[in-house]
Amino acid sequence: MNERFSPLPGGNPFSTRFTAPGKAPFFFESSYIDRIKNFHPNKFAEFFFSTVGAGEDLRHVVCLRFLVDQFISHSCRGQIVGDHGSGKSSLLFYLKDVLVKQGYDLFSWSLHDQNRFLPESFWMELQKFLQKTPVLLPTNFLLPPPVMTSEEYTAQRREFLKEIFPDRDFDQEAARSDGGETEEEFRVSSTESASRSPDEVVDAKTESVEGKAAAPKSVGVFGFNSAGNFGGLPSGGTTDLGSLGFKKPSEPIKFSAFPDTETLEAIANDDTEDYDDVELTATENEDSSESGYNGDDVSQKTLEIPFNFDVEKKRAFFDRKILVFDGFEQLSFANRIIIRTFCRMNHLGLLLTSHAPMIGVPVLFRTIPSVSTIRQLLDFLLEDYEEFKIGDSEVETLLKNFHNDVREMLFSLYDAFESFRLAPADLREKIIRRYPR
Amino acid sequence: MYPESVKPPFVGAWSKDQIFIRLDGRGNRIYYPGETLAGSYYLNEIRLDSIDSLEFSVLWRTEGKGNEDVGVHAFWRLSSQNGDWIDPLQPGRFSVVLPQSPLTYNGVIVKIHWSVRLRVFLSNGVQLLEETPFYLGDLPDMRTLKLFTG
Repeated sequence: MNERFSPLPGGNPFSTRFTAPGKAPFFFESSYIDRIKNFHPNKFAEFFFSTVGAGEDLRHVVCLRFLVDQFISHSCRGQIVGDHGSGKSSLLFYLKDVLVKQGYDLFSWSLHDQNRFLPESFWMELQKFLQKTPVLLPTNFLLPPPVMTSEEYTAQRREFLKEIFPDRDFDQEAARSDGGETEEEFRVSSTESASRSPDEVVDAKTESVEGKAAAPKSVGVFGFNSAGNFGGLPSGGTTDLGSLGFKKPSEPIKFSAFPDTETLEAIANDDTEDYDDVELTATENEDSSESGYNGDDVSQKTLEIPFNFDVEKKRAFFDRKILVFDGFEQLSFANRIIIRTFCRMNHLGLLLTSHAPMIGVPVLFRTIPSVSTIRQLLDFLLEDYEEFKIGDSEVETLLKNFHNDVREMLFSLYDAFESFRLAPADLREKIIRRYPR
Repeated sequence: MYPESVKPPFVGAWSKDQIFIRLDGRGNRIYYPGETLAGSYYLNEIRLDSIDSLEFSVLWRTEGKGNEDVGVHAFWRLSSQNGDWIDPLQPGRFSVVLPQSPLTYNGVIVKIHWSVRLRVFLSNGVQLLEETPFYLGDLPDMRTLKLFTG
């Protein structure tokens, strides 16, 4: 039988297995929790008493929860600022952990050296992350077109609609549309047609094609094309303009840079076009159940805004999604502005780490390693290696020599431990004293 | 002392003595490629109805300054929801034929460690983890070899 629980003799406590973000705790300064206690006593009491008895490190958890509370109070926007190897990624790991436990959806992206631009894979992954958003969300306008087939896109939209309108049976409607019962739904909408039922609109369009009735007065042609983008008429589409009520102008339209007043009056008095009455059709959910979804043509639908959609629920849906960037300073200035604007326009949270503060994003925490925090980290790592002891003076020298870069300092200690591990007992003390270097 | 999400750096401290893994064979825990690794595991102070599932794996992992790589050689999962009988009062047995590579390696820049890992999922959401290392092959320690060969 073997002896139990003996650690591997060749193990090195400074390897990345034990020092990578998430493998060792992030140690806060004792002064930080004192500041929370003094300046936010109510929150401190709340976090403290909710943590007591949970079997976790109180200081660690209280500080993390306070940071997350600050992050949420700033509309889910915040950044961690610090130098190379100062522990930004470690702190970010635990913040993400707390945010996930609180029910937030996170999209994490790490940027490495010379990543000046976001790759295409980023937008692809982001699109996957935001797939659950309803069709009417503005994210559809800003995202690049999806690289997928029409069938895949239709299936995805069907799933989205099922989540939003669970009462409706979209599979049956899709099967019905495959049978040819419904017509293409680039909706002709006007003050007149809006008051009519969908069947009457279809009848009117059919009559106009046959030339038996006058065309509808005004036209609004909007919808999502097959690529998932919102826009007007599809390029090269099969929509018959005549059936939609467009009138071909008898004379070519003349454009002038400075139209005179007569031209403007002529345009105002022109009764041939009724574009002033154009408005988008806004239907209730119950109405949209009849004409809002047509199976494979779902990507070519009229933009129908369900008014009875819970606005608060929609806001909560937005606010629960956060984009997390590690190493945000790698991006170019333009890309940083694009991401910041993208998150603001889409009501997405933004949590990032950077070397220098990004304008417009509040700074949550500045990571500055100190002797006391490094002391705690070394005590944690060397819990089973009591013979490898490093004093405070060595730690101070190490921090000074490595310019507060804890990562490089741990790499140096890795080499020192390798030398220490196989050295004779009389040389071990010299090895420890020889480091830091 | 530390949050649950933080893993202590060394084996043996994770399960708080609630899981024991014993390997059969020689006491030096050195096994050769192609040899059968067998052993048993014991669950202490765990009630029968509190165990949701149990995962057993034989794996290797690298250790060094760079990113960590992990390779799983064998894996079993027992789940009470699937009808598997997990009795904490009786020791569980396992047996697996070891592969030809990678051999355990104790280098300076990179190391390769083999271990037997048992993870117990309790019904209250708590996970217990236990790892017992062993050697595959008997490659000499490169650093020691350098010292003696000059």
